[in-house]
Amino acid sequence: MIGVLNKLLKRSRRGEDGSIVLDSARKATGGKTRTRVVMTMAVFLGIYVAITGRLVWFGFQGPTDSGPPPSRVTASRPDIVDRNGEVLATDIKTSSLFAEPRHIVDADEAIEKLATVLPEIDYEQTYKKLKSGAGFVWLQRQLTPKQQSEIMQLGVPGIGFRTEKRRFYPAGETASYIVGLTNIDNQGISGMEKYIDDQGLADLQLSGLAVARDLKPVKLSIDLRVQHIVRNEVADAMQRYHAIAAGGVVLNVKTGEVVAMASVPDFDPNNPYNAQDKDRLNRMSAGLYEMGSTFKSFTTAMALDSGKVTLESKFDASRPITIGRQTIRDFHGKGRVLSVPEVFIYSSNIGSAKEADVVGIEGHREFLHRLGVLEKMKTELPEVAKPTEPKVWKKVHSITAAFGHGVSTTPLQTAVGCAALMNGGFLIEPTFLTRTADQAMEVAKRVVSEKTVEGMRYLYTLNAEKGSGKNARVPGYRVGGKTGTAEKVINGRYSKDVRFNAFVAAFPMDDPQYIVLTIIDEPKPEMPGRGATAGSNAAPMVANIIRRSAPMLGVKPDFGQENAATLVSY
Amino acid sequence: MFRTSDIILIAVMVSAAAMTYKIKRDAEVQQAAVYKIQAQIRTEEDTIDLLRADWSLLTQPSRLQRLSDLYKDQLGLQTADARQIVRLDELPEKPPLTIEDIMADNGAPGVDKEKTASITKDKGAEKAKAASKAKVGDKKPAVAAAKPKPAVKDKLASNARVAVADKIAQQIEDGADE
Repeated sequence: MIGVLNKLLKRSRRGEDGSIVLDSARKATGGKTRTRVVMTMAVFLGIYVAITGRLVWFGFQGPTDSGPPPSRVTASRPDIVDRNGEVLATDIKTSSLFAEPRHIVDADEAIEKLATVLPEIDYEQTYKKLKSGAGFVWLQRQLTPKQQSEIMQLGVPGIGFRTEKRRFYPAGETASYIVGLTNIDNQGISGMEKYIDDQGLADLQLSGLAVARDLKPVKLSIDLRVQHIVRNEVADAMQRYHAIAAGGVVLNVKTGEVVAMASVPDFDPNNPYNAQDKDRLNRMSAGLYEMGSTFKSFTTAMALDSGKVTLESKFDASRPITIGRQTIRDFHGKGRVLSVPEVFIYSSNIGSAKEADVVGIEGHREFLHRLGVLEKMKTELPEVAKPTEPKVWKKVHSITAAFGHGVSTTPLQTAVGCAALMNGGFLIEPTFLTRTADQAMEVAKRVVSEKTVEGMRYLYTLNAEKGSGKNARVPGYRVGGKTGTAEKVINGRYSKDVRFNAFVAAFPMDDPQYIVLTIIDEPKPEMPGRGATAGSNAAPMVANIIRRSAPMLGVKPDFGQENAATLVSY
Repeated sequence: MFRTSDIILIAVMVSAAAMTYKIKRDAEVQQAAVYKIQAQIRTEEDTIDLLRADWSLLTQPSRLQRLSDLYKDQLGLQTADARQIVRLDELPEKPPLTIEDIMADNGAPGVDKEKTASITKDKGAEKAKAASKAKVGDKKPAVAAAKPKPAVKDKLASNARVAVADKIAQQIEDGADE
């Protein structure tokens, strides 16, 4: 500016120096040129200053409130599939329709056009929304891609889509506890979803590397068909026996794979409004119970494994045991001397206590720890409870633990412990991911001898033939098992009427492949006058599960060995 | 004014410009097509994801069970019983196929009319035919045809085809030996 003015002045001075021609020329225009140039410059300057000022003003102005809210970055998660590749959890993209009423030219026309694709749209409400003059309104959440493309075809101005990723669980409540849940940011908060995050997916998402295409589906050991059967049966049983809860697990004894595991009441992962309720608990792995007589499997196995007891040993169960203020009685008392198989099939508390006595207190405790029944279970599911036991074991503890009282453990651990008694004596940690028998043998620990396993198989078969497990029999599948009817502690005392029932079964007994364990919490008799012991509720649950799922588990029916147990003399 | 070389150069320049323009334009068109296809692929992928979810939703065992319960009257589906499952080796053995069976089969009606015509003159064959005809009603033609074989056997032995059949049997045996 100033430079230009100086130049002008300079030029005028130069003129005065003596350039006559120029001077005269300037005079011809009357010296107005300079003023004109300055004026023009001023006008242009003014215009540019105005534009710059306006731009700066715009710059400081916040953006007008139109357009959708900022998009939530949802990270991709891998699909979760069952052992046959059936989808249990997947990411789906949904798009939601929004409108910017300020940009809508003709609200009536827009609604009419949209109604051709979305017949359920509410005219009046939508009209109000579009006329509101707001910057942004949602019209419809979660459209299908077909609807989306059809709306795009309509070419209505002022509307748009926002895509959102959502976790979807096609199986719904069938496998809710195993698959788990994610939160609004697509991070796993329970079940296998949480396990996947803990395995490094969370870090991957943080670094922004979790691209949907690179994520391999996570294959679980669950078989969706069997899972459905177990869920269906336990839900039915809970209703039939008016129980407060029920559960079931199917475990492969050779690989430790959990093929199915269900616990009711449960929740719908697609709408988990009640997932935090108090009674929504995966009772199979996170519920602690005094397992009752199913523990007699462990007591008997321990006695046999110690070598001090054989199947021919006899125990006097004619008189109740009194220790301190407590008296141990038999539920189905025989009042005579019982052999080991009799102790097992009549579920004699006295006999079991005497079996435990042979091994001793420390030996008993050590054996239960060896079977992993009193250790905190190591598996993929995050919801695992730690079993409880007396701090110091005294004689009374050993006696009560012999028939499953005084120590609490999870039903899943009980199933795993029983699997070790059936599969040849190997303790295999349960897994929810696929595993072959060879891989399982690498992590397996031998806990009992081959001979003990043989004895236990015989006792299980016998119990289903003659003892309390008759209701668990399924023609053709050689089921063997042990009932457990535990009295629950109500106000610090064992109650006679409130029970926790369990049934642990193995099949086929000639070469056990699977353990099926069912629990039912506080069952009432199906009809007045009927019993509510494990044999009348937990055992039929097992039978139904096996009957329906055995063909899917690949167990071949065989009617030739139906009376195997009775053929073995005892 | 213009020399020839100028004209040529101008022509080259103009055509080069035109070509550049065309190439650029074509590239833009191709680019647009690529974007469109990419968008299509994304939509397809999303649709596949959605359809897979849809499929697993439709094939949920719980849903299938509900449906089969609902249409029980029409479908009549039941839980498979263990007795319905048998292994291949547990199936009752089929009676071994002998050469006599094949011959008796030939005697059965409608198997090979031209050839059977020559046998029908034979009394035994006629008997066989009658017997098998009677049994056809029981829907067991193969077994029926095999049944009259002891009576017919001797008479048919004279038939030339038996020799051929024996020869074939011999060959098969030889083959087995090798």
